[in-house]
Parts: sequence; structure tokens; C-alpha cells
Amino acid sequence: MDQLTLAGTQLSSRLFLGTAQYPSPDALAKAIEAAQPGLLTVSLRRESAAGKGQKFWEIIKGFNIPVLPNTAGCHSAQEAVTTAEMAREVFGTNWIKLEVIGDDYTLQPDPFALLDAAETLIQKDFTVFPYMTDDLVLAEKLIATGCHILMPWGAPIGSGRGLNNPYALKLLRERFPEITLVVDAGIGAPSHAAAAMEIGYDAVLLNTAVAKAGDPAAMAGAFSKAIEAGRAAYLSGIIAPQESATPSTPLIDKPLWHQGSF
Amino acid sequence: MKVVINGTPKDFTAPLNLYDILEQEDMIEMMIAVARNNVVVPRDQWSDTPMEDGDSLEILGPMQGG
Repeated sequence: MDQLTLAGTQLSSRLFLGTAQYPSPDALAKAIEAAQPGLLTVSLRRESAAGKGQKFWEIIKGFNIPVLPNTAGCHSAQEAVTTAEMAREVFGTNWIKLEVIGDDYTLQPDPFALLDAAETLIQKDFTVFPYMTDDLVLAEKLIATGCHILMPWGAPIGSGRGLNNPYALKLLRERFPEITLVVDAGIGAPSHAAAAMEIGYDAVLLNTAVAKAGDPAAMAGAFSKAIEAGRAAYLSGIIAPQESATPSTPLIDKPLWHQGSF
Repeated sequence: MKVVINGTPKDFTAPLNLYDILEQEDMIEMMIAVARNNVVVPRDQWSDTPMEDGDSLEILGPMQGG
């Protein structure tokens, strides 16, 4: 399959996998093994002498998969910028999934704070992966700020609703053919991820759908196949839907056929 | 002197720099980032960062994330 390259780094898969909410560290490791994701998302929290976060990192670093730290839980541009700077210190990468929450009920990103934070971080040499709504004008402004990757939501984080607004997502794809587009959040079933890939998205980022599945490793494998299938379908040229039927089996020379039978 | 570490005040004997504090907290070898009074201090500047009474430190490490 054609490989995705982000900021000069070739990724082995178009599935980006979150590392939170797994029933155990072992379940996380098995899900990563089954998914073989191109990217793993990680986060930052207060560390203590007990070194809880260090143990988590031991699992992740063994896979040798690029990591994308996030600014989850930030509610202001300043908070997100500081968290991004600390993430760069901890993980040694200038990639950041920029997340600035504007509404606690839907976890909808705050577009204004997102834009402010993106501008500051790009000036500080970060490669910003903004987690955003599917708003076209916001996308234009983020691109004008210097973002080359956009990550619109499919649906609210953890909702498993799939693609709430396929029209808006398709529009972003059509309007920004040169931008790397990733559906981030809201994915529930592998078919949702395949649908995102079929409309030309470059990758899908998901977490809860795998972590909370009955069998996370098996679900991770299912998502991996769905994303691969969706990408192959997009590249192969999906037929346009039409209202009327067209017989798929040729009628000429069918048994008992004779001139004038129709 | 009193330093607030991840929200919890703690007493130390001055004078100290940031490196000393992290050493006393047994965190010097850890994969962490530190902000002093909301300003990130890169690892190579820990020894050159004097601590003052009332300073606040945010010490972050890796964690699961989506």
C-alpha cells in the first residue's frame, strides 16, 4: 500500500492509535502489536517519585513507532502552549496534537484558542496537528497559519458515532487536496474508519473504539484491515451511485435469448 | 524554603537549584519535563536555575493519551 509521509517521516500505517483506557498494560501492548499503527498518541501528566509514567513509557518505546504527544485537557491557548513545550522536553519530538477544549459536554475544540495556540507553536518550530471541528473557515485559517496537517473530528471524543457530517469532511478533502487530513475522534466501528478513508482522508486516529472493545487486540486488527481497505478503495476509483439498475451480467447470448424478446 | 511541587507545598533547606530539588525528589534520571512558575526549564538548565522561596514546580512525565 502507498505509504504516508508526515513532515519527512514515512509511517508504516495510516492507522494512528491512542494508548489510553486499555484494561491493562498487557492489553495495550497486544493491541499495538495487532494494529501495527503508524503513530501512537501519548500524553503528559504529573509525575512522582513512584515513576508511574516511566513504566508506561517502557512499553511504548519498545515498539519503535513514532509518538504524537497531545495537549489533552487544556482549556486555553497558554495552557496548551506550555504543555506542548513540556511534551517536547519529555518525548524529544516537535510533533504535537494540539487539543484545546472549548466545551466540556461535547469536548468540542475551541476554534479561537486553537488558532492562537497553533500560531504560537508554529513560531516555536512545532509541527502542529490541530484537533479541530470540521469547519471550513477554521481549516483555511489554520493552513494560513502554517499547519500542513489537519485533524477534524468525526464525532465527539469517545462517542463512537462515526462520521457525523460526511458532507463537511468531504468538502475539506475537496478544498484542500494538498493538506494531510486525518479524521480524529468519534470513530466507533471499523466501517466508520473505512468510510473516512474512502472519501480520501489520509489517516484515521482512534482510541476508545479499540481500548473499550470486548477484545481490544482483535478490534485493533479489524481497524487496521478496514483502513487499508478504505484506502485501496479510494485509490481504485469508487463508482458513482445512480438511481436506476444496470444489469451486471451481459444479456446477449443468454440461454433462450432470441431477437425481439425484449 | 517552601517549594510547591505539583500542587503540594514542601520544605527544603536553601540554597538550592532546580537540579538539587529533583535529585532530592529522586527524579533526576526520569524522563520528565519541568516548568518553574509556568516557564519550561530545559534539562540542560536545571543546574543553573536557582530556586526561591514560594516557587512552584510542575513536573510532568509520559502518560497514556488519545
